[in-house]
Amino acid sequence: MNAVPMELVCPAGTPAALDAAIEAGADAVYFGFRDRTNARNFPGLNFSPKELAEGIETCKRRGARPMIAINTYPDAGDDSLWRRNVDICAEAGAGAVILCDMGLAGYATKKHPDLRLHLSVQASASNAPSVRFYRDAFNIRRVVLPRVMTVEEIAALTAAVPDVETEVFVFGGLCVMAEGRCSMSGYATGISPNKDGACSPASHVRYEEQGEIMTSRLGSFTLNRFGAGEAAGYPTPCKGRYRVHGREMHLFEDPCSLDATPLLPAFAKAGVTALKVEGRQRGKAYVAQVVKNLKAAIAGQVTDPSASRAFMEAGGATTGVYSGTWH
Amino acid sequence: MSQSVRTFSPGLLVGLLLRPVPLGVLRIAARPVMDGLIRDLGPRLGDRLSGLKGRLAIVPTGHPVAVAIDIDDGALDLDLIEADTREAMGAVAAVRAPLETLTAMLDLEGMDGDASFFARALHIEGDTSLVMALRYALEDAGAGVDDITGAVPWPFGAALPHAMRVGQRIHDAASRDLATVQDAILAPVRTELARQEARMARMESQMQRTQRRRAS
Ligand code: SF4
Repeated sequence: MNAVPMELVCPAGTPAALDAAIEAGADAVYFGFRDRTNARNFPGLNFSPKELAEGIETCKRRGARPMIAINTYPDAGDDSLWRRNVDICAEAGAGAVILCDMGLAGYATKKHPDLRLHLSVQASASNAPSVRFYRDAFNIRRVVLPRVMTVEEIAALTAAVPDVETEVFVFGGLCVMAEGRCSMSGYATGISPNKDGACSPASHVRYEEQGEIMTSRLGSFTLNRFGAGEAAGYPTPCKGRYRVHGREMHLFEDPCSLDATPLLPAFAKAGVTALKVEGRQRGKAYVAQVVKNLKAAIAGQVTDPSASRAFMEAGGATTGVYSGTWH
Repeated sequence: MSQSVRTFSPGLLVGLLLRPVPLGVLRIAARPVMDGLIRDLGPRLGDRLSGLKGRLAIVPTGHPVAVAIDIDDGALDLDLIEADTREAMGAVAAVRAPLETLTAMLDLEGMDGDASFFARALHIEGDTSLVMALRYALEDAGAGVDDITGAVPWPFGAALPHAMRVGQRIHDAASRDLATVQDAILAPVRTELARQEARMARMESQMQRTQRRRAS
Protein backbone atom coordinates (compact mmCIF):
# COMPACT_ATOMS: atom_id res chain seq x y z
CA MET A 1 0.00 0.00 0.00
CA ASN A 2 1.24 3.49 -0.89
CA ALA A 3 2.22 5.82 1.95
CA VAL A 4 2.19 8.88 -0.33
CA PRO A 5 -0.97 9.82 -2.24
CA MET A 6 -1.05 8.67 -5.84
CA GLU A 7 0.03 11.31 -8.37
CA LEU A 8 -2.72 12.62 -10.65
CA VAL A 9 -1.45 12.95 -14.23
CA CYS A 10 -3.72 15.14 -16.36
CA PRO A 11 -4.04 15.80 -20.08
CA ALA A 12 -3.52 19.10 -21.90
CA GLY A 13 -4.08 19.60 -25.63
CA THR A 14 -3.55 23.35 -25.51
CA PRO A 15 -1.81 25.85 -23.20
CA ALA A 16 -5.29 26.88 -22.00
CA ALA A 17 -6.12 23.29 -21.02
CA LEU A 18 -2.75 23.08 -19.27
CA ASP A 19 -3.70 26.11 -17.14
CA ALA A 20 -7.11 24.55 -16.41
CA ALA A 21 -5.47 21.28 -15.31
CA ILE A 22 -3.05 23.01 -12.94
CA GLU A 23 -5.81 25.25 -11.61
CA ALA A 24 -7.94 22.17 -10.87
CA GLY A 25 -5.11 20.55 -8.89
CA ALA A 26 -3.15 18.34 -11.31
CA ASP A 27 0.07 16.97 -9.82
CA ALA A 28 1.47 16.39 -13.29
CA VAL A 29 0.39 17.43 -16.78
CA TYR A 30 1.18 15.54 -19.97
CA PHE A 31 1.19 17.18 -23.38
CA GLY A 32 2.89 16.87 -26.73
CA PHE A 33 4.13 18.40 -29.95
CA ARG A 34 1.87 19.44 -32.80
CA ASP A 35 3.17 16.76 -35.16
CA ARG A 36 3.31 13.03 -35.90
CA THR A 37 5.30 12.21 -32.78
CA ASN A 38 2.11 12.68 -30.78
CA ALA A 39 -0.58 9.98 -30.50
CA ARG A 40 -3.20 12.76 -30.38
CA ASN A 41 -2.16 14.41 -33.63
CA PHE A 42 -5.40 16.26 -34.39
CA PRO A 43 -5.79 19.50 -36.37
CA GLY A 44 -5.40 22.65 -34.28
CA LEU A 45 -4.42 20.69 -31.17
CA ASN A 46 -1.14 20.42 -29.24
CA PHE A 47 1.94 22.56 -28.69
CA SER A 48 4.46 24.22 -30.97
CA PRO A 49 8.07 23.82 -29.71
CA LYS A 50 7.87 27.36 -28.27
CA GLU A 51 4.53 26.70 -26.53
CA LEU A 52 5.89 23.42 -25.24
CA ALA A 53 8.92 25.07 -23.63
CA GLU A 54 6.61 27.72 -22.12
CA GLY A 55 4.27 24.95 -20.89
CA ILE A 56 7.16 23.22 -19.13
CA GLU A 57 8.07 26.53 -17.48
CA THR A 58 4.46 27.15 -16.41
CA CYS A 59 4.23 23.69 -14.84
CA LYS A 60 7.44 24.11 -12.90
CA ARG A 61 6.48 27.58 -11.69
CA ARG A 62 3.12 26.33 -10.46
CA GLY A 63 4.31 23.09 -8.89
CA ALA A 64 3.10 20.53 -11.44
CA ARG A 65 5.38 18.01 -13.14
CA PRO A 66 5.53 18.47 -16.94
CA MET A 67 5.56 15.22 -18.91
CA ILE A 68 5.91 15.19 -22.68
CA ALA A 69 4.39 12.42 -24.79
CA ILE A 70 6.46 11.42 -27.81
CA ASN A 71 4.44 8.29 -28.17
CA THR A 72 4.26 7.17 -31.78
CA TYR A 73 6.62 4.92 -33.70
CA PRO A 74 9.21 6.65 -35.93
CA ASP A 75 9.39 6.08 -39.66
CA ALA A 76 11.75 3.40 -40.86
CA GLY A 77 14.86 5.17 -42.08
CA ASP A 78 14.02 8.60 -40.66
CA ASP A 79 13.48 9.20 -36.98
CA SER A 80 14.93 12.72 -37.03
CA LEU A 81 11.65 14.41 -35.99
CA TRP A 82 11.29 12.09 -32.99
CA ARG A 83 14.93 12.63 -31.96
CA ARG A 84 14.64 16.40 -32.40
CA ASN A 85 11.65 16.45 -30.07
CA VAL A 86 13.47 14.42 -27.41
CA ASP A 87 16.32 16.95 -27.59
CA ILE A 88 13.88 19.88 -27.20
CA CYS A 89 12.37 18.23 -24.12
CA ALA A 90 15.76 17.63 -22.54
CA GLU A 91 16.81 21.21 -23.19
CA ALA A 92 13.54 22.66 -21.86
CA GLY A 93 13.82 20.61 -18.66
CA ALA A 94 10.83 18.27 -19.06
CA GLY A 95 9.95 16.32 -15.92
CA ALA A 96 9.68 13.16 -18.00
CA VAL A 97 9.35 12.03 -21.60
CA ILE A 98 6.73 9.38 -22.28
CA LEU A 99 7.81 7.22 -25.20
CA CYS A 100 7.14 3.79 -26.67
CA ASP A 101 9.73 3.09 -29.34
CA MET A 102 12.83 1.15 -28.29
CA GLY A 103 15.08 2.88 -30.82
CA LEU A 104 14.03 6.27 -29.52
CA ALA A 105 14.38 5.12 -25.91
CA GLY A 106 17.90 3.97 -26.75
CA TYR A 107 18.69 7.36 -28.27
CA ALA A 108 17.24 9.26 -25.30
CA THR A 109 19.11 7.14 -22.73
CA LYS A 110 22.42 7.61 -24.49
CA LYS A 111 22.12 11.27 -25.46
CA HIS A 112 20.33 12.53 -22.34
CA PRO A 113 21.17 10.18 -19.45
CA ASP A 114 19.53 12.52 -16.92
CA LEU A 115 16.23 12.73 -18.77
CA ARG A 116 13.58 10.74 -16.92
CA LEU A 117 11.85 8.24 -19.22
CA HIS A 118 8.38 6.77 -18.84
CA LEU A 119 7.14 3.92 -21.01
CA SER A 120 3.99 4.89 -22.87
CA VAL A 121 0.87 2.75 -22.87
CA GLN A 122 1.56 2.50 -26.61
CA ALA A 123 4.36 0.02 -25.81
CA SER A 124 1.82 -2.30 -24.16
CA ALA A 125 4.18 -3.64 -21.51
CA SER A 126 1.95 -5.73 -19.30
CA ASN A 127 4.13 -8.34 -17.59
CA ALA A 128 7.14 -8.40 -15.28
CA PRO A 129 9.80 -9.66 -17.76
CA SER A 130 8.79 -6.97 -20.24
CA VAL A 131 8.95 -4.18 -17.62
CA ARG A 132 12.31 -5.47 -16.33
CA PHE A 133 13.64 -5.45 -19.88
CA TYR A 134 12.68 -1.80 -20.44
CA ARG A 135 14.16 -0.88 -17.03
CA ASP A 136 17.46 -2.64 -17.68
CA ALA A 137 17.87 -1.61 -21.32
CA PHE A 138 16.64 2.00 -21.20
CA ASN A 139 16.44 2.99 -17.53
CA ILE A 140 12.66 3.32 -17.77
CA ARG A 141 11.45 4.68 -14.42
CA ARG A 142 7.71 4.36 -14.87
CA VAL A 143 5.38 2.23 -16.99
CA VAL A 144 1.94 3.37 -18.11
CA LEU A 145 -0.01 0.14 -18.06
CA PRO A 146 -2.30 -0.92 -20.91
CA ARG A 147 -6.00 -1.00 -20.06
CA VAL A 148 -6.17 -4.77 -20.40
CA MET A 149 -5.12 -5.77 -16.87
CA THR A 150 -7.13 -6.57 -13.77
CA VAL A 151 -6.29 -4.90 -10.44
CA GLU A 152 -4.90 -8.26 -9.22
CA GLU A 153 -2.57 -8.45 -12.22
CA ILE A 154 -1.42 -4.88 -11.58
CA ALA A 155 -0.71 -5.73 -7.92
CA ALA A 156 1.32 -8.76 -8.98
CA LEU A 157 3.31 -6.66 -11.45
CA THR A 158 4.14 -3.87 -8.99
CA ALA A 159 5.23 -6.50 -6.44
CA ALA A 160 7.42 -8.25 -9.02
CA VAL A 161 9.18 -5.06 -10.22
CA PRO A 162 9.02 -2.68 -7.24
CA ASP A 163 11.71 -0.32 -8.54
CA VAL A 164 9.64 0.67 -11.62
CA GLU A 165 6.66 2.90 -10.92
CA THR A 166 3.28 2.09 -12.44
CA GLU A 167 0.73 4.54 -13.81
CA VAL A 168 -2.82 3.46 -14.68
CA PHE A 169 -5.60 5.14 -16.62
CA VAL A 170 -8.43 6.04 -14.32
CA PHE A 171 -10.75 8.14 -16.46
CA GLY A 172 -11.52 8.85 -20.12
CA GLY A 173 -11.83 7.19 -23.50
CA LEU A 174 -11.04 3.53 -23.91
CA CYS A 175 -8.88 1.93 -26.55
CA VAL A 176 -9.90 -1.70 -26.41
CA MET A 177 -6.97 -3.23 -28.25
CA ALA A 178 -3.55 -3.78 -26.72
CA GLU A 179 -2.43 -0.22 -27.32
CA GLY A 180 0.03 0.43 -30.08
CA ARG A 181 -1.08 -2.66 -31.94
CA CYS A 182 -4.43 -1.74 -33.46
CA SER A 183 -4.54 -1.35 -37.22
CA MET A 184 -8.27 -0.96 -37.80
CA SER A 185 -8.30 2.80 -38.33
CA GLY A 186 -5.08 2.56 -40.35
CA TYR A 187 -6.75 -0.05 -42.57
CA ALA A 188 -9.78 2.19 -43.13
CA THR A 189 -7.89 5.43 -43.78
CA GLY A 190 -4.29 4.68 -44.66
CA ILE A 191 -3.26 6.84 -41.68
CA SER A 192 -1.87 4.89 -38.73
CA PRO A 193 -2.74 5.70 -35.11
CA ASN A 194 0.63 4.29 -34.11
CA LYS A 195 2.82 6.04 -36.68
CA ASP A 196 0.85 9.16 -37.63
CA GLY A 197 -0.78 9.72 -34.26
CA ALA A 198 -4.46 9.74 -35.15
CA CYS A 199 -7.05 7.02 -34.77
CA SER A 200 -10.01 7.99 -36.96
CA PRO A 201 -8.35 11.14 -38.33
CA ALA A 202 -10.81 14.03 -38.64
CA SER A 203 -10.00 14.40 -42.33
CA HIS A 204 -11.60 10.99 -42.93
CA VAL A 205 -14.58 11.28 -40.57
CA ARG A 206 -17.98 12.33 -41.88
CA TYR A 207 -21.37 12.56 -40.22
CA GLU A 208 -24.64 12.39 -42.09
CA GLU A 209 -28.01 13.34 -40.69
CA GLN A 210 -31.22 11.90 -42.07
CA GLY A 211 -33.98 13.30 -39.96
CA GLU A 212 -33.22 12.21 -36.40
CA ILE A 213 -30.79 9.49 -37.48
CA MET A 214 -27.07 10.21 -37.54
CA THR A 215 -24.64 8.05 -39.45
CA SER A 216 -20.90 8.20 -38.81
CA ARG A 217 -18.45 7.16 -41.48
CA LEU A 218 -14.70 6.61 -41.55
CA GLY A 219 -13.31 6.70 -45.08
CA SER A 220 -15.57 4.42 -47.09
CA PHE A 221 -16.80 2.48 -44.04
CA THR A 222 -20.04 3.12 -42.18
CA LEU A 223 -19.25 2.84 -38.49
CA ASN A 224 -22.47 3.60 -36.73
CA ARG A 225 -26.03 4.72 -37.02
CA PHE A 226 -27.48 6.49 -33.98
CA GLY A 227 -31.24 6.51 -33.60
CA ALA A 228 -33.36 9.44 -32.47
CA GLY A 229 -32.13 10.69 -29.11
CA GLU A 230 -29.54 7.92 -28.79
CA ALA A 231 -26.29 9.15 -27.21
CA ALA A 232 -23.42 9.14 -29.69
CA GLY A 233 -19.92 7.68 -29.40
CA TYR A 234 -16.55 8.39 -31.01
CA PRO A 235 -16.20 7.49 -34.69
CA THR A 236 -13.54 4.84 -34.02
CA PRO A 237 -13.81 1.39 -35.64
CA CYS A 238 -13.77 -0.38 -32.25
CA LYS A 239 -16.95 1.44 -31.19
CA GLY A 240 -18.76 0.75 -34.46
CA ARG A 241 -21.89 -1.31 -34.86
CA TYR A 242 -21.61 -4.16 -37.30
CA ARG A 243 -23.90 -6.79 -38.74
CA VAL A 244 -22.92 -10.16 -37.31
CA HIS A 245 -24.98 -13.28 -38.01
CA GLY A 246 -27.77 -11.03 -39.24
CA ARG A 247 -27.81 -8.88 -36.10
CA GLU A 248 -26.48 -5.36 -35.74
CA MET A 249 -24.26 -5.10 -32.68
CA HIS A 250 -21.24 -3.43 -31.11
CA LEU A 251 -18.77 -6.09 -32.11
CA PHE A 252 -15.78 -4.97 -30.02
CA GLU A 253 -17.11 -2.66 -27.34
CA ASP A 254 -20.14 -0.59 -26.43
CA PRO A 255 -19.27 3.10 -26.59
CA CYS A 256 -18.61 4.21 -23.02
CA SER A 257 -15.84 5.84 -21.01
CA LEU A 258 -13.59 4.53 -18.31
CA ASP A 259 -14.36 5.73 -14.80
CA ALA A 260 -12.33 3.77 -12.28
CA THR A 261 -12.87 6.24 -9.42
CA PRO A 262 -14.46 3.53 -7.22
CA LEU A 263 -11.24 1.51 -7.58
CA LEU A 264 -8.87 4.19 -6.23
CA PRO A 265 -8.37 2.40 -2.87
CA ALA A 266 -7.69 -0.85 -4.73
CA PHE A 267 -5.09 0.88 -6.94
CA ALA A 268 -3.40 2.35 -3.86
CA LYS A 269 -3.33 -1.09 -2.26
CA ALA A 270 -1.90 -2.57 -5.46
CA GLY A 271 1.07 -0.19 -5.21
CA VAL A 272 0.15 2.05 -8.16
CA THR A 273 2.18 5.30 -8.19
CA ALA A 274 0.12 7.47 -10.50
CA LEU A 275 -3.35 7.82 -11.95
CA LYS A 276 -3.80 9.09 -15.48
CA VAL A 277 -6.68 10.93 -17.09
CA GLU A 278 -7.14 10.33 -20.82
CA GLY A 279 -8.28 13.20 -23.04
CA ARG A 280 -5.76 15.59 -24.56
CA GLN A 281 -8.36 16.10 -27.30
CA ARG A 282 -10.96 17.22 -24.77
CA GLY A 283 -11.83 20.79 -23.79
CA LYS A 284 -11.00 22.89 -20.73
CA ALA A 285 -14.40 22.17 -19.18
CA TYR A 286 -13.67 18.41 -19.21
CA VAL A 287 -10.18 18.84 -17.79
CA ALA A 288 -11.35 21.19 -15.02
CA GLN A 289 -14.31 19.05 -13.94
CA VAL A 290 -12.68 15.62 -14.12
CA VAL A 291 -9.45 16.70 -12.41
CA LYS A 292 -11.34 18.44 -9.61
CA ASN A 293 -13.46 15.33 -8.98
CA LEU A 294 -10.53 12.93 -9.00
CA LYS A 295 -8.45 15.14 -6.77
CA ALA A 296 -11.28 15.10 -4.22
CA ALA A 297 -11.65 11.32 -4.55
CA ILE A 298 -7.92 10.78 -3.99
CA ALA A 299 -8.21 12.91 -0.85
CA GLY A 300 -10.87 10.49 0.35
CA GLN A 301 -13.84 12.81 -0.15
CA VAL A 302 -17.14 11.44 -1.37
CA THR A 303 -17.70 12.61 -4.94
CA ASP A 304 -20.79 12.74 -7.10
CA PRO A 305 -20.24 10.47 -10.13
CA SER A 306 -22.97 12.29 -12.05
CA ALA A 307 -20.79 15.43 -12.15
CA SER A 308 -18.60 13.82 -14.80
CA ARG A 309 -21.34 11.81 -16.52
CA ALA A 310 -22.02 14.38 -19.28
CA PHE A 311 -18.39 14.10 -20.40
CA MET A 312 -18.59 10.35 -20.98
CA GLU A 313 -18.81 8.74 -24.36
CA ALA A 314 -22.45 7.84 -25.08
CA GLY A 315 -23.11 8.83 -21.45
CA GLY A 316 -21.90 5.43 -20.20
CA ALA A 317 -19.24 4.50 -17.63
CA THR A 318 -17.26 1.32 -17.01
CA THR A 319 -14.44 0.22 -14.73
CA GLY A 320 -13.21 -1.78 -17.74
CA VAL A 321 -10.95 -4.76 -17.40
CA TYR A 322 -9.70 -3.56 -14.01
CA SER A 323 -12.62 -5.41 -12.43
CA GLY A 324 -12.44 -8.32 -14.83
CA THR A 325 -14.99 -7.27 -17.45
CA TRP A 326 -15.24 -4.75 -20.27
CA HIS A 327 -18.75 -3.66 -19.41
CA MET B 1 -21.55 21.37 -14.83
CA SER B 2 -23.63 19.09 -16.96
CA GLN B 3 -26.20 20.66 -19.21
CA SER B 4 -29.31 18.81 -20.22
CA VAL B 5 -30.17 19.39 -23.84
CA ARG B 6 -33.54 20.97 -24.48
CA THR B 7 -34.75 21.53 -28.00
CA PHE B 8 -37.55 23.85 -26.90
CA SER B 9 -35.51 26.74 -25.50
CA PRO B 10 -35.47 30.54 -25.31
CA GLY B 11 -32.66 30.48 -27.91
CA LEU B 12 -35.02 28.78 -30.34
CA LEU B 13 -37.71 31.37 -29.63
CA VAL B 14 -35.20 34.16 -30.35
CA GLY B 15 -34.53 32.48 -33.70
CA LEU B 16 -38.22 32.34 -34.49
CA LEU B 17 -38.62 36.02 -33.58
CA LEU B 18 -35.75 36.92 -35.91
CA ARG B 19 -37.36 35.20 -38.88
CA PRO B 20 -39.30 38.20 -40.21
CA VAL B 21 -36.22 40.47 -40.02
CA PRO B 22 -34.57 40.79 -43.47
CA LEU B 23 -31.04 39.36 -43.72
CA GLY B 24 -29.71 42.71 -44.98
CA VAL B 25 -30.81 44.44 -41.77
CA LEU B 26 -29.26 41.72 -39.58
CA ARG B 27 -26.00 41.92 -41.52
CA ILE B 28 -25.78 45.70 -41.12
CA ALA B 29 -26.52 45.40 -37.40
CA ALA B 30 -23.96 42.63 -36.93
CA ARG B 31 -21.16 44.12 -39.08
CA PRO B 32 -19.49 46.23 -36.35
CA VAL B 33 -19.54 43.21 -33.99
CA MET B 34 -18.05 40.97 -36.67
CA ASP B 35 -15.34 43.54 -37.40
CA GLY B 36 -14.55 43.83 -33.70
CA LEU B 37 -14.26 40.05 -33.37
CA ILE B 38 -11.98 39.76 -36.40
CA ARG B 39 -9.77 42.52 -34.97
CA ASP B 40 -9.60 41.19 -31.40
CA LEU B 41 -9.93 37.45 -31.83
CA GLY B 42 -8.12 36.90 -35.14
CA PRO B 43 -4.57 37.42 -33.82
CA ARG B 44 -5.28 35.29 -30.73
CA LEU B 45 -6.09 32.22 -32.80
CA GLY B 46 -2.39 32.08 -33.57
CA ASP B 47 -1.17 29.43 -35.91
CA ARG B 48 -3.73 26.79 -34.89
CA LEU B 49 -5.61 27.49 -38.12
CA SER B 50 -2.55 27.76 -40.35
CA GLY B 51 -2.62 25.60 -43.45
CA LEU B 52 -6.42 25.34 -43.28
CA LYS B 53 -8.76 26.89 -45.78
CA GLY B 54 -12.51 26.97 -46.24
CA ARG B 55 -15.84 28.24 -44.97
CA LEU B 56 -17.36 26.95 -41.77
CA ALA B 57 -21.00 27.78 -41.02
CA ILE B 58 -22.29 27.90 -37.44
CA VAL B 59 -26.06 27.53 -37.44
CA PRO B 60 -28.00 28.08 -34.21
CA THR B 61 -30.97 25.69 -34.33
CA GLY B 62 -34.15 27.35 -35.58
CA HIS B 63 -32.40 30.60 -36.50
CA PRO B 64 -32.81 32.13 -39.95
CA VAL B 65 -29.15 33.15 -40.12
CA ALA B 66 -25.81 31.42 -39.72
CA VAL B 67 -22.37 32.80 -38.93
CA ALA B 68 -20.03 32.14 -41.84
CA ILE B 69 -16.39 31.84 -40.78
CA ASP B 70 -13.99 32.01 -43.69
CA ILE B 71 -10.58 30.63 -42.82
CA ASP B 72 -7.63 31.22 -45.10
CA ASP B 73 -4.32 29.95 -43.75
CA GLY B 74 -4.80 31.44 -40.30
CA ALA B 75 -6.64 34.59 -41.41
CA LEU B 76 -10.28 34.94 -40.42
CA ASP B 77 -13.34 36.63 -41.90
CA LEU B 78 -16.86 36.63 -40.45
CA ASP B 79 -20.27 37.33 -41.95
CA LEU B 80 -23.94 36.56 -41.45
CA ILE B 81 -25.54 34.44 -44.14
CA GLU B 82 -28.90 32.81 -44.64
CA ALA B 83 -29.11 29.48 -42.79
CA ASP B 84 -29.48 26.71 -45.34
CA THR B 85 -27.99 23.40 -46.37
CA ARG B 86 -24.20 23.18 -46.09
CA GLU B 87 -23.83 23.18 -49.85
CA ALA B 88 -26.10 26.21 -50.32
CA MET B 89 -24.08 28.12 -47.70
CA GLY B 90 -20.92 27.32 -49.66
CA ALA B 91 -19.42 25.80 -46.51
CA VAL B 92 -16.98 22.89 -46.35
CA ALA B 93 -18.26 22.24 -42.85
CA ALA B 94 -21.33 23.19 -40.84
CA VAL B 95 -22.07 22.97 -37.13
CA ARG B 96 -25.70 23.03 -35.97
CA ALA B 97 -26.66 23.30 -32.31
CA PRO B 98 -29.08 25.16 -30.05
CA LEU B 99 -27.87 28.66 -29.20
CA GLU B 100 -27.58 27.58 -25.56
CA THR B 101 -25.22 24.71 -26.45
CA LEU B 102 -23.02 26.96 -28.57
CA THR B 103 -22.64 29.52 -25.78
CA ALA B 104 -22.19 26.80 -23.10
CA MET B 105 -19.24 25.45 -25.07
CA LEU B 106 -17.45 28.78 -24.62
CA ASP B 107 -17.83 28.49 -20.86
CA LEU B 108 -15.36 26.71 -18.54
CA GLU B 109 -18.33 25.50 -16.52
CA GLY B 110 -20.13 24.24 -19.62
CA MET B 111 -19.81 21.19 -21.85
CA ASP B 112 -16.87 20.57 -24.10
CA GLY B 113 -17.38 19.83 -27.80
CA ASP B 114 -17.16 16.05 -27.33
CA ALA B 115 -19.76 16.06 -24.54
CA SER B 116 -22.15 18.12 -26.69
CA PHE B 117 -21.59 15.68 -29.53
CA PHE B 118 -22.24 12.63 -27.31
CA ALA B 119 -25.48 14.26 -26.12
CA ARG B 120 -26.50 14.78 -29.78
CA ALA B 121 -26.78 18.51 -29.07
CA LEU B 122 -24.17 19.28 -31.71
CA HIS B 123 -24.37 18.21 -35.34
CA ILE B 124 -21.35 18.33 -37.59
CA GLU B 125 -21.53 18.12 -41.38
CA GLY B 126 -18.68 18.05 -43.88
CA ASP B 127 -14.99 18.52 -43.11
CA THR B 128 -14.61 17.53 -39.46
CA SER B 129 -10.95 18.66 -39.35
CA LEU B 130 -11.86 22.32 -39.93
CA VAL B 131 -14.43 22.15 -37.12
CA MET B 132 -11.93 20.59 -34.72
CA ALA B 133 -9.16 23.05 -35.52
CA LEU B 134 -11.45 26.04 -34.99
CA ARG B 135 -12.75 24.59 -31.74
CA TYR B 136 -9.22 24.14 -30.34
CA ALA B 137 -8.12 27.55 -31.61
CA LEU B 138 -11.09 29.32 -29.99
CA GLU B 139 -10.64 27.45 -26.77
CA ASP B 140 -6.94 28.18 -26.53
CA ALA B 141 -7.60 31.84 -27.32
CA GLY B 142 -9.95 31.90 -24.34
CA ALA B 143 -12.75 33.07 -26.64
CA GLY B 144 -16.00 33.57 -24.80
CA VAL B 145 -19.21 35.52 -24.60
CA ASP B 146 -17.12 38.44 -23.28
CA ASP B 147 -15.44 38.71 -26.67
CA ILE B 148 -18.81 39.14 -28.34
CA THR B 149 -20.00 41.72 -25.84
CA GLY B 150 -16.61 43.47 -26.04
CA ALA B 151 -16.99 43.76 -29.81
CA VAL B 152 -20.32 45.58 -29.57
CA PRO B 153 -19.65 49.28 -30.29
CA TRP B 154 -20.27 52.15 -27.85
CA PRO B 155 -22.79 53.12 -26.43
CA PHE B 156 -24.51 49.70 -26.71
CA GLY B 157 -21.38 47.86 -25.60
CA ALA B 158 -21.21 49.83 -22.35
CA ALA B 159 -24.81 49.00 -21.47
CA LEU B 160 -24.49 45.36 -22.51
CA PRO B 161 -23.18 43.75 -19.29
CA HIS B 162 -26.22 45.02 -17.38
CA ALA B 163 -28.59 44.03 -20.20
CA MET B 164 -26.97 40.56 -20.30
CA ARG B 165 -27.49 40.05 -16.55
CA VAL B 166 -31.15 40.93 -16.93
CA GLY B 167 -31.35 38.80 -20.07
CA GLN B 168 -29.78 35.84 -18.23
CA ARG B 169 -32.42 36.05 -15.51
CA ILE B 170 -35.20 36.19 -18.11
CA HIS B 171 -33.55 33.32 -19.99
CA ASP B 172 -33.36 31.14 -16.87
CA ALA B 173 -37.01 31.75 -16.04
CA ALA B 174 -38.08 31.16 -19.65
CA SER B 175 -35.99 27.95 -19.79
CA ARG B 176 -37.80 26.58 -16.74
CA ASP B 177 -41.22 27.47 -18.16
CA LEU B 178 -40.44 26.06 -21.59
CA ALA B 179 -39.06 22.87 -20.03
CA THR B 180 -42.36 22.42 -18.21
CA VAL B 181 -44.26 22.97 -21.45
CA GLN B 182 -42.00 20.56 -23.34
CA ASP B 183 -42.37 17.88 -20.66
CA ALA B 184 -46.14 18.30 -20.70
CA ILE B 185 -46.25 17.94 -24.49
CA LEU B 186 -43.94 14.92 -24.50
CA ALA B 187 -45.43 13.08 -21.53
CA PRO B 188 -48.02 11.11 -23.56
CA VAL B 189 -45.36 10.24 -26.17
CA ARG B 190 -42.99 8.98 -23.45
CA THR B 191 -45.71 6.82 -21.92
CA GLU B 192 -46.53 5.32 -25.30
CA LEU B 193 -42.84 4.68 -25.98
CA ALA B 194 -42.40 2.90 -22.64
CA ARG B 195 -45.44 0.76 -23.43
CA GLN B 196 -44.03 -0.14 -26.87
CA GLU B 197 -40.61 -0.95 -25.36
CA ALA B 198 -42.15 -3.28 -22.80
CA ARG B 199 -44.16 -4.98 -25.59
CA MET B 200 -41.02 -5.43 -27.70
CA ALA B 201 -39.11 -6.90 -24.74
CA ARG B 202 -41.95 -9.37 -24.10
CA MET B 203 -42.00 -10.39 -27.78
CA GLU B 204 -38.21 -10.82 -27.84
CA SER B 205 -38.20 -13.08 -24.79
CA GLN B 206 -41.14 -15.07 -26.24
CA MET B 207 -39.18 -15.54 -29.46
CA GLN B 208 -36.09 -16.69 -27.55
CA ARG B 209 -38.19 -19.19 -25.57
CA THR B 210 -39.73 -20.55 -28.79
CA GLN B 211 -36.29 -20.87 -30.40
CA ARG B 212 -34.93 -22.70 -27.34
CA ARG B 213 -37.91 -25.09 -27.33
CA ARG B 214 -37.38 -25.82 -31.03
CA ALA B 215 -33.66 -26.43 -30.50
CA SER B 216 -34.19 -28.86 -27.60
S1 SF4 C 1 -9.89 1.72 -33.34
FE1 SF4 C 1 -10.28 1.68 -31.16
S2 SF4 C 1 -8.86 0.12 -30.36
FE2 SF4 C 1 -8.12 0.74 -32.37
S3 SF4 C 1 -6.65 2.41 -31.96
FE3 SF4 C 1 -8.66 3.34 -32.37
S4 SF4 C 1 -9.56 3.62 -30.33
FE4 SF4 C 1 -7.90 2.13 -30.10
